[in-house]
Amino acid sequence: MSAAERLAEARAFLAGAPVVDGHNDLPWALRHRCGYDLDALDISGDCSAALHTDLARLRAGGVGAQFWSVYVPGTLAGDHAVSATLEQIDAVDRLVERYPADLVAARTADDMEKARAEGRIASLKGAEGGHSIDNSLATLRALHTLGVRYMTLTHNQNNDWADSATDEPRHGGLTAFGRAVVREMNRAGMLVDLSHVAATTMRDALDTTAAPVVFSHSSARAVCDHPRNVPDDVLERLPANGGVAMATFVPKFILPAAVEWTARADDNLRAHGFHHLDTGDAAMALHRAFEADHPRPVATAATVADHLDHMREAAGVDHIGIGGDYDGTAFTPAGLDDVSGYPNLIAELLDRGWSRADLTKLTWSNAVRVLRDAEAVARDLTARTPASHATIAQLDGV
Amino acid sequence: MADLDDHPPFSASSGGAVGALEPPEPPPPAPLDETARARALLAAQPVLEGHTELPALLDPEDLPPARAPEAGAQFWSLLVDSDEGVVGTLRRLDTIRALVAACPDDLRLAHTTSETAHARNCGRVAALLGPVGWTALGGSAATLRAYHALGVRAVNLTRFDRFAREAVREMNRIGLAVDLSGADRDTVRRVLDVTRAPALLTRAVPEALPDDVLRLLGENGAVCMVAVGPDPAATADVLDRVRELAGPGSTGLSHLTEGAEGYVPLVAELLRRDWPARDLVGLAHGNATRALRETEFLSRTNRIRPVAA
Repeated sequence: MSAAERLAEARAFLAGAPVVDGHNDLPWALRHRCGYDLDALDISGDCSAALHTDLARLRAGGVGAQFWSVYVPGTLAGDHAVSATLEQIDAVDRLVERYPADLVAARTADDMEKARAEGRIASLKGAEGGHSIDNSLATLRALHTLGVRYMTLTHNQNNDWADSATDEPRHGGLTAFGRAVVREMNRAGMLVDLSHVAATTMRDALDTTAAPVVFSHSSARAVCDHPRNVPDDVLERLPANGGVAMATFVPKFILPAAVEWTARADDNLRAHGFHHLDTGDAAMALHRAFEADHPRPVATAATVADHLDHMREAAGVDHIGIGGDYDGTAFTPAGLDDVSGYPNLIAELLDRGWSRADLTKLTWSNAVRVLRDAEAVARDLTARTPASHATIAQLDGV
Repeated sequence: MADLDDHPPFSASSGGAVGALEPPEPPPPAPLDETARARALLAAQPVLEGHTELPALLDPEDLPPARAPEAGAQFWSLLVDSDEGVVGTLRRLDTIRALVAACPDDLRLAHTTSETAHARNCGRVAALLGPVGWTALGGSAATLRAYHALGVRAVNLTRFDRFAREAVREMNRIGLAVDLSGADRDTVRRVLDVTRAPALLTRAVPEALPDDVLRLLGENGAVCMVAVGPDPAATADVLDRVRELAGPGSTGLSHLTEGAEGYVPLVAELLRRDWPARDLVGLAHGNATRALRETEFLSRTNRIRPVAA
């Protein structure tokens, strides 16, 4: 079968089993690029010059459901973090309201199935970092009421109750309050997202949770040794937990040569006084100059497929998914350049002999199942236990 | 279905001819005194209270909290100290929701005037959420919309800053009542210039409002919800002034202060002052319900407008 035929087959496949993507940072891109002016960046038009994401490319990519990230930086704290999160949530709601022919709000697994049947893209919300609740379980419940269906326990920084993968260990995983947050998420029906967190936090969360977890955008550490990826011992616990690890496309996490290159490029940015995650125009110009002298190792769909092959082996085919992190990363793999690229990944996996049954689990059914299971756990816990009003001062003595 | 009657009108044992024993004409009923009439009126037309505080120390043993006499609906205040901000407001909201959920026989959360009426018909006190404080918005229309999505239906606006004009328009659009309790004359004037929905004063202090402001509020259809003190005559004086200057459509009730024995003595006093029943129904809940319903209607027609940034 030719490459073109494979790709056509991948597209046909995605028409029936579209992608549930675990993480897309379009809301943050809209915030910092145009202050949420949805006229200035109209995603019903061609936004390829500014964004990885627009409606036409989501359609071309065969996306059937998207967890939109309502990320706010981990450097924000207190009310500022909460207010900014509410603005991000509002931005997603306004996108959905503005493009009703393409997007539809989804709060449940049933909503996702209904959206697929209608041919619209189910829009879910995921918060990225426990700082978004300011150590308040009441705020956690408010976010759930506003439609947030997962919360990543940390972003790049530790918070008061959980260690991040990319910060100095402080708590050795979750504190007592951190475990109370996990239990309250179970009770509310909000998925516990373990991307970004330290391996110690992953293990503590798995020991605590009554519901399946997700990794909204993390790949396999055995394939590329980066702290943002999931170690094998954790992947191997997913069958018992029922959770899903959604492989990400970010080259600097998934391609060893890119990890090394990024470390040097980051040093270069910091040497010029920028934060290494700055994606502003000035920082990107500097990045491009560095790239001219040091050719950037390029990841491809095959790189992502290598991770998925391993994750299927380690966690099982019922516990894998896809979380591209589009508009949350400066660089993307060749062939997976933007949200229209998913068919290339499916074509690669077809080439490797993945069955349609396995691919259906990967793209659609695992992610829907995990939300459905979390809903069942929430119904059970809500019937049996009252809402927790524990405070961090009570549990952690801080 | 006379054959199913337990006491058929003519039984075999009654003997005598029909009409033989005419009962004596009952004496005409004595006219009800004002207190009895007030009690009857409030039983049929329970009060929509503008202001309810969450008890400072809520002991779960005390649930449900003492049911306010003659209340059919209550706004539950979400005002927190200004340094508590958004999170303090969300915390209060969460506690009130938990309280309402814990007392399903007494309280029922209401988001609209129809839900308020439905709760009353079911014998429950409708719990309306609001107002939230101005500082709890953090100057963001997104926060305003989040509060609305969480069930809040009023926002207290006490100063007219840069954000206020846009915020009031957005409140009109999504269906949040503007609460002008505590606002000064200048703020009232500026807000009434912008808003297209009637304002509420959930904790009005009409004594502090000049005559012209009261007239202005009357033109807007605003409702001054007044606290009821232990002396019904004093409260009636305040309400007489509101009714005279702002009109009978602008009166309302906020809450009972320490020492007040329900709303009956006040309504009895107003009956003695010849307030017609129509005005008393407006005072109890009709005016506030009308203001909220107009806010809802306006929002429905406004939804087609673009969202504020």
